[in-house]
Amino acid sequence: MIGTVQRILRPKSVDELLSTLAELQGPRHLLAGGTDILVKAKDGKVAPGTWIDVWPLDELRGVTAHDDRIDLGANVTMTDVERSPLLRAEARALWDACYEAGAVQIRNRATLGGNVANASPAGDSIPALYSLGATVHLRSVRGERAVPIEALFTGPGKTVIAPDEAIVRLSLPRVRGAVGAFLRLGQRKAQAISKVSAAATATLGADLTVEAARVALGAVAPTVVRAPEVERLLAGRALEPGLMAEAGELAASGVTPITDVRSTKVYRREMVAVVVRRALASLVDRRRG
Amino acid sequence: MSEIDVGLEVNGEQVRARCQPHDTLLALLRYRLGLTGTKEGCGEGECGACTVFMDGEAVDSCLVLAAQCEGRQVTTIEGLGRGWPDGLHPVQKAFMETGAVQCGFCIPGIIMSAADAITRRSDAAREEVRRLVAGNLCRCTGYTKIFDAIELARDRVARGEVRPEA
Amino acid sequence: MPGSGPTYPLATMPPDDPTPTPTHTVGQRLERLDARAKVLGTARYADDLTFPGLLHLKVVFSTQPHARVLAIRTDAARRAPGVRAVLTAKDCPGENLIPLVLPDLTLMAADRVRFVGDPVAAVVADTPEAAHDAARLVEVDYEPLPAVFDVLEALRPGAPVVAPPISGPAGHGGANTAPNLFNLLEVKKGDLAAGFEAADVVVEQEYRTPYQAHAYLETQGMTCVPEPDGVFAVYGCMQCPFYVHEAVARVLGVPRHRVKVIQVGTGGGFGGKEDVPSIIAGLAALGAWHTGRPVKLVLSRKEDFETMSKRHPALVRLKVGAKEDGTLTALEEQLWLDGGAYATLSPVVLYRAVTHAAGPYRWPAVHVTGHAVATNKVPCGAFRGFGTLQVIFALESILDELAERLGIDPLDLRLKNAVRVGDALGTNQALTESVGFIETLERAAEVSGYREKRERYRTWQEGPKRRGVGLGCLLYGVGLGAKGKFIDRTGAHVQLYPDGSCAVSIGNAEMGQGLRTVISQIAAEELGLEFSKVQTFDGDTSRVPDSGPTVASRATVMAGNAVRDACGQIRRELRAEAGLMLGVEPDALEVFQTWVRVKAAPERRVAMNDVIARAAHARRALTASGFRLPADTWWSDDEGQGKAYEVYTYATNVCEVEVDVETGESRVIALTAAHDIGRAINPTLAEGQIEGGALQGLGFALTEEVHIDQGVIKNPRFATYIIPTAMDSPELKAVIVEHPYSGGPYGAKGIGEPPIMGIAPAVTNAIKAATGARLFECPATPERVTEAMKAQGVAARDEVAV
Repeated sequence: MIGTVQRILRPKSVDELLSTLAELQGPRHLLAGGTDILVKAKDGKVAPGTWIDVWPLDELRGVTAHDDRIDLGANVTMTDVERSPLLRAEARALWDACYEAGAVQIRNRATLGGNVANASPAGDSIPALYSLGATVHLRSVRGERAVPIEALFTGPGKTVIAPDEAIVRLSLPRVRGAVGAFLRLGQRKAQAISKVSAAATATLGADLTVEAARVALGAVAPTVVRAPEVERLLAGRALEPGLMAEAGELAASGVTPITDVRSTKVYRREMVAVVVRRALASLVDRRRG
Repeated sequence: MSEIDVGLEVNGEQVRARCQPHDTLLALLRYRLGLTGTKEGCGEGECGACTVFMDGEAVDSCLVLAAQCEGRQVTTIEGLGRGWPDGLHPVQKAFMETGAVQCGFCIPGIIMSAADAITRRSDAAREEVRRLVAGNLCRCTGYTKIFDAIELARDRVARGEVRPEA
Repeated sequence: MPGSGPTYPLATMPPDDPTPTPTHTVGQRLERLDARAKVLGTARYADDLTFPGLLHLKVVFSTQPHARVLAIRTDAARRAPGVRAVLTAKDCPGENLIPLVLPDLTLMAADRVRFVGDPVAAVVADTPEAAHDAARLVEVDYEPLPAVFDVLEALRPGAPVVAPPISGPAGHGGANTAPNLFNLLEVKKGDLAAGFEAADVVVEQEYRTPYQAHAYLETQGMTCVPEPDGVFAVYGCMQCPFYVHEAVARVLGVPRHRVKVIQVGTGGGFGGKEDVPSIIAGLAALGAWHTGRPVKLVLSRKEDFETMSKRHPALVRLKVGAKEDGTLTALEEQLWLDGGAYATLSPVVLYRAVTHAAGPYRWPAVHVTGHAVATNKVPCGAFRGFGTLQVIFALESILDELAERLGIDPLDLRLKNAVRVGDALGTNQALTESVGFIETLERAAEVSGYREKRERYRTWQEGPKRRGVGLGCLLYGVGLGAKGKFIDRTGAHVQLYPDGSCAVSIGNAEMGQGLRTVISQIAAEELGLEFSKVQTFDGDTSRVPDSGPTVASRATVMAGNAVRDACGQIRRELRAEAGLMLGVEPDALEVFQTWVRVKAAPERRVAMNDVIARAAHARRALTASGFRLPADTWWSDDEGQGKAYEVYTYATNVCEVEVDVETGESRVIALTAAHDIGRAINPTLAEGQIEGGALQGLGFALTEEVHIDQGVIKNPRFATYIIPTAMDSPELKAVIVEHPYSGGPYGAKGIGEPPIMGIAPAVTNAIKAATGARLFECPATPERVTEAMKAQGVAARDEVAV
């Protein structure tokens, strides 16, 4: 930790942030709520450099509903998500993930932009954002670009975000009648890092026919992954128990997780089947209200 | 690395302190301002012993840089009881009465979380109480008497039996 | 009596008059003395203290599990900004030794490191940051040696020698006479072969239990302050101020009167602040010696996890036999405790393990063989339960296996074999009083609804969530017992002031359990004072008598008796004064609540306050010292028998669990714990011990384990070492059973340790009942539960057989 923070800059606007990023030489670290980066820094895993505090940038705050999408500022916290009736109604997988993540003190500081930038395969908001088809908006002095969330990650802790870029917002397409769920298994009931997680968001017909579905898995690969084979299996079919079980098995067969201090590869793989099946079952329950 | 100057409001008073860029709010409180009621149990946001309010929200002060506190309002365990009878927030009083305290090291942090919880969720049932203080590890009590204390304080406040004096 | 050591005379201190009932403070739910300071945040702990000119110490720990130290290069560190001293083993002015059971633990490794985390150097600097930075500049040249990490491998001929043979003081739990064997102890009773011959059913099984970290919320911390008169004052968190006192004096090479140790607020101990604080204090003292300035050492959470003591992992091979009707006939056990790199307290942990291995049951024949073994891993020492959780997990698991084979309910099997007054334990110790085990079984079953739930959950349960109830029982020998009696004594100092208030000083430590409050209650009762008039002070070794360690659930009994001794002396003076006031002989008087009254005519009385004021004016001695030795105990290593402990606490835990058979996740719904503690001096505090211990036990049962790979701890953080949160705490029901002990104050026995014991088997027995799968190892993580279900052919979707 000591020496890691060589200096700390506190830009007053996003424009100032971007020009700072453009001009800076050497390692730089964006600091929002600090719930990930400070832990890493204290563990000696952050290169010494310039830290830039983005927490005060209110431009990056706020949940905004548009006709076709919901915009979430990069500084929206997990608590903001938890307190948003709109997101509970329309982005349930994300709401679930934020409701269960960490604890109050962490949710009050952990931002969506930070959780995404941290790029942990076990980061709880990320599978939810995959399932919701989120787009990540990156801005620099060179302009703004939109990256589908699943194209953002290249490995654990690694993203395509350029050194002069910052996440400014996430946008979620608004899909009428979509239902979602996020499920995870941890080592205890709170303050737990996921051993395995699954998020699913789908539109279901009256007979529970899957019109469209996105399924994503956490903590079973170097990055969060989508399960396209599962999505194909589900497309156009009614969500009944046999299909949900089959989907779970298919998802499990497609992953090659690892053993670490939190769990084993065997367990993780088997549990993918369970959490996927249960997430889908939860969609049915929620569709039925 | 040069020192930085941070000005903030702590427990209702304006303070300024010289800090290192890497200093956390926790270090600022404990070692620059001498407010040692806030404890460090792990330094990485797992145990909650360092919980304080920052602009009214409960945060782990070990995961906030002092530099981020410029112009902010911080309340610590030393300031929680201000304005309450006998200088004790209802949660503090209830913790004393129900035997919720053992070694006491986690207690300032858990009392901050509990005070936050009953303020926001005056109707919280036990399951919700558990969830709202899940960011504070206690190794002594098994939490049972802590839940009893929080519910006692919650009900007293809800029934208007205890009010701030100011 | 065939004792193995010298016998000690019993202290003779019958109170001069029996304590009347009802008591006015003892047995009351009084608020703790330190509650207000703790809720306000004004209570002071090790790191809250600061001193003018304070320096900070950082330790350089070994990165090797086993290596020769060729060179320690400190030049660069010495030249770093703000550095005042860089110290290694050769800088100890006295002995480089932390005195414990065996003289093997060094303050800093000199020529050989034995584990990853052995201290090799210490850097003292102006700020914590400067010390931290400079510590990274210390270079150590190691020549790696072959290392051993497994107890059975460590005992094989030709294994790398972690701990060479060494002998300790006679009687202190023996000496390690073979390489890597800290100690070997046996318990022998009856004819084992005949016992198994008589059995209709024999069950044999192997069990394993893991490391457990204390995970006290406050890490280890000490400050040593050199005072102008040449005294080194040590302030910090600890359970045993006099252990620290001896260690610091020996490390500094000064007489003990040149050291004083002041225990400050201690943020949790659980055994973890029994032995290792001597290391922390020794290092701080060494820094203070060399710099002449106050030096503070507070470990980071990671350092604490990586280097401080743990609960011993164990391997237990257990074989038991019973007749068809459930009568137990024989128990044979082999036990290996992984002691890690140094003996620390392993020999006495092993003693407690073997003497508790047969549990609170009648066994005609017993043979237990226990080994405490050295490996190149973090040393294991004291942890609440002290060697018993391991043997209880095995015994209470195998009793359920036996019950299943016999077709007897586990509760009935236990009731049938439970010890009563007049029975003998596996150690052949005859039980003469205060045996409330059966009542704990009955009360726990009743409060938890054990029989109804057992019946209800026996039938088909739909869905993936299955429920079961399980039992875990135990006994616990209060105090240090025969292997610890050489340091078992307690003193107290009581001073009554003319205004009727009272100061009590004891040599035992408050670490959250509420000892100061309990002692104030006892003193108030004894002297006829209101509770609010008695202040019990934290220990300072220069002012309180050496009272031995604050461990082994001994403080209420031992310190309580010492306080009664002192109060009895003062009370004699007060009765003499009251006799003058009332015009009767002192012998005709008694203290009743806050009065002194005539026994034969209770309406003739005077207020204690008035008596005290007059007694003070008359210059009577209102100050007294009390001192107590424990009731005698003995142990014969040769016979494998003895009166191991003076008295036992008994308990029964009933756990109700819901297992998700698809994920293997276990949720504890309710845990009922009934404890016979003799007498609860303060029921609220006693419940607090039971509830807190139970949840620690659930952590041990379900989530807590230390992952070590080649001697390196892989999860030294609260993010990866998983202790229960508020969300993980079930409904905890504490039930207090009182079978008074004549040798305890007001009948009290100990309560500190038993609550954590017997929880793990209650959980795994409940998991077995719920799922049909038996766990032979804890913690019962979802990974282990699903593996066990697969291995034992219990499918998630099949009907659960019970």
